Amino acid sequence: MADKPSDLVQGTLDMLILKTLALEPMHGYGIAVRLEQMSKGVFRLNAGSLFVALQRLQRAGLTKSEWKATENSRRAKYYVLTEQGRRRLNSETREWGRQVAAIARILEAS
Amino acid sequence: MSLLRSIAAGLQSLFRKEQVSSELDEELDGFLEMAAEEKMKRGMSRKDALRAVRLERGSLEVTKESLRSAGWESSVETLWHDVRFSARMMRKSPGFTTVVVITLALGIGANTAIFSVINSVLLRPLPYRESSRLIVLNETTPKVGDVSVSYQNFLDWRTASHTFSQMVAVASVDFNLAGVTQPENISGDAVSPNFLSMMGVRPILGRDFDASEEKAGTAPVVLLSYAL
Repeated sequence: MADKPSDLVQGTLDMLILKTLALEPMHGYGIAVRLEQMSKGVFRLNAGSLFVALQRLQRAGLTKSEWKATENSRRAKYYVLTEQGRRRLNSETREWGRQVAAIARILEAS
Repeated sequence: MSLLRSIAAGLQSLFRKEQVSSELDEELDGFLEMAAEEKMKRGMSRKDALRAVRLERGSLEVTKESLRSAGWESSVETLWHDVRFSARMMRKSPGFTTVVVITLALGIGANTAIFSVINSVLLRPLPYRESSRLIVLNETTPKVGDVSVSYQNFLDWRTASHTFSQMVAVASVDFNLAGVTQPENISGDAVSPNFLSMMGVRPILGRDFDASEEKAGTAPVVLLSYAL
């Protein structure tokens, strides 16, 4: 299926969620929509992988959560980046940049 | 501490299962509703919208299941289920259970017994000073094999050998205990004066043998053991 959204590179989902939350606190659906928008529809998150990742991030202390009302006055669990999460996002972003540059150098070698 | 947090979160889902699970239900329902609303805005019927979300995002039941099995607490729960299941099975077939329990008991008992023998005979060092350096020397003859050492040979070994820091002669001796109601034969050992000091053992009462007492003609000296 050509129009099927791509799978994420392994291990990058956590980083992308942290990035989304760095912009503003967000509930699960919001994160999924935001990731889809920012990737221009390339990444469409499955609910399973999204919520498992959210649980993992929270247990690692990278996010916190609280119940709040949405703009449509529905109750939703909002996830907030912690200071530790912000640091992790920075270090992972740097590492990702390093790796992408390295892979690019390899692929461009002739 | 992320480890502590993970433990706390796991304990919470173990012991406040209802609350954690209803919160999870609410969160996932919210997810479904919000995604469906989006589609209904674009003119889908509610039923079609819910169906489309399930197709796109995967079933929420599966999500719940994978969330439940993602934490460490799920293995505790599985273990608990297994324990209960095996207890039920054992109650169902008491004959089999009895056989298994007896087999295990005998097996463990035999193992323990054999290990205590091996431990005291092979593993635990002798309760003497530098027991790893203690060696029993014998003379051997081609026909008989190990034979006891003659006293003259012992004296030669002791003066000529530089391999051992000390050498001690031991020979079994029988005594007759008289002067009590029933005379008794007592087995003992005749030993060189440095026998006890070499082992690092000191008599509780009285004194150790003296080097001068090794010569023939001196008065016999005896040390009594608890065995008497």
